[in-house]
Amino acid sequence: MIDVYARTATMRDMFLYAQNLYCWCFDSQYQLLYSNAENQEFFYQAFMISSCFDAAKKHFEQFFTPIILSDKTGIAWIAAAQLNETEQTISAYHILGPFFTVEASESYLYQLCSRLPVGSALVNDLMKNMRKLTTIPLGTAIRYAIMLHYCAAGKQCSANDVSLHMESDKDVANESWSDYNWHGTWEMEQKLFKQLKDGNARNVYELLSQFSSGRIGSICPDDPLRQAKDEMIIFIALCSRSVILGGVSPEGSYNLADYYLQRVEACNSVSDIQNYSIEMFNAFLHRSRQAKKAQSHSVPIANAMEYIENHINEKINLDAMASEIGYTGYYLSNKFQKEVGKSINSYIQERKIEAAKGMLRTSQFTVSDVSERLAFSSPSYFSSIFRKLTGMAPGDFLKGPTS
Amino acid sequence: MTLKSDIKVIDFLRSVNKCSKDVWFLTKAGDRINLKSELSRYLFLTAVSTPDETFYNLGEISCDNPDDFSILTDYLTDW
Repeated sequence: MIDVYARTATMRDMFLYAQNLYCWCFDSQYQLLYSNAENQEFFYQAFMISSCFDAAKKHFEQFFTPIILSDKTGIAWIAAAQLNETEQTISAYHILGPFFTVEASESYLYQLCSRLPVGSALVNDLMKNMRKLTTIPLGTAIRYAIMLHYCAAGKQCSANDVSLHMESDKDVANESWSDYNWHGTWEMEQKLFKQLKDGNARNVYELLSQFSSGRIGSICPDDPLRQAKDEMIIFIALCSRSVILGGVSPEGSYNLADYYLQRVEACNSVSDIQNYSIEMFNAFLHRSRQAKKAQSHSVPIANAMEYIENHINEKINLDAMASEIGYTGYYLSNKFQKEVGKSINSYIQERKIEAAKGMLRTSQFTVSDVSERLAFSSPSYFSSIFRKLTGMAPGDFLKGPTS
Repeated sequence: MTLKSDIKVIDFLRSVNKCSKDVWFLTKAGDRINLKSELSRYLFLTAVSTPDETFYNLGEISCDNPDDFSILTDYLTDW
């Protein structure tokens, strides 16, 4: 019990100061024990009268796992259960919220209120409370649900264990497709894809974190996994076109897109898809930057570099590569060495190890997996090359902080 | 009919859920708040939390189905 209090006390401060997200603690009968929310009475009543409260009650009658809840206005909460010492019943509930999902926002609420027969004074008073709320994309909310569950229950869970209850107002949803701020991401998209086209990594991960839609049901009602896959497919297509505009060959871009489309379709959880989104984006960003660098190289060398990127998951044969580009292996080797300052084999090894680092960072793959995916002859050979180029073993890289 | 001054808002709104048709809160400023609508409930909470007024000064309750008044009897007064 003391552990729970220590964990939740630290968590409350972290969420408040880092994300402006309020914490609530209810007893097993949903009596409020604690909250650090501003305007506590208003938000407490808002939760207790909302459909989110009813959905949370129903969920915890059957499950001990965390849940993300959103009502028709897009205001959302995250709930997790604390179990008693025997872990048979729930002794308390820990809630984070309220917050807006990405589609909902102050302007969205204002738009909804404008349809109601109420005066602007009352709406303005409501907005004063709502302005305090933070906006959290669904992917981030899932991570917070996992963290909250660990604090409350002392146990780990995965994204698969996080339930979603997202209500949508169909009338509003249909009308709002033409709304400039519907997803609230148009400006962000423009910035993100321009930076991808330019091969510019500055602030790109901050933009990327805002990309995920928070509103389940806008494409696939009641199917968060399909929704996440469809969003990724769209995202991959947009990234692919952006890098083509940035100088990557269409064939190279399409090959990369196909690779990730297949991996995304094979995913079984929303969090797997989100991990791939970062890996995929890194891959396209790298291609774009390589294309910019290659523009400073001669045509044969630029083509060789692109060939290597397109076949990074295969054993690359120098003569086969040279033949495809239209040169002999001897000519290409010498030219590559003169222009780039290293042998083709060294360059290929460096590129494969960079790709390996990206895969290991996602923690989706073991060292053997990565070795096999990058077509090394054996895991031990892969490890020796990895150590030679990075100074550490791939297993240590997998465990330690990202470099 | 108006709301009593000492009611618990949460219990009142849960009783509204049991009503067969819409229930409205009509303020003196001319607002019509549908107490069965989620967004409107937030507006209602805003209205009743106004610090300078008590419930009976704010407005009255109207039910589309007059029979629903019987569900809300404990919360209403004629004044």
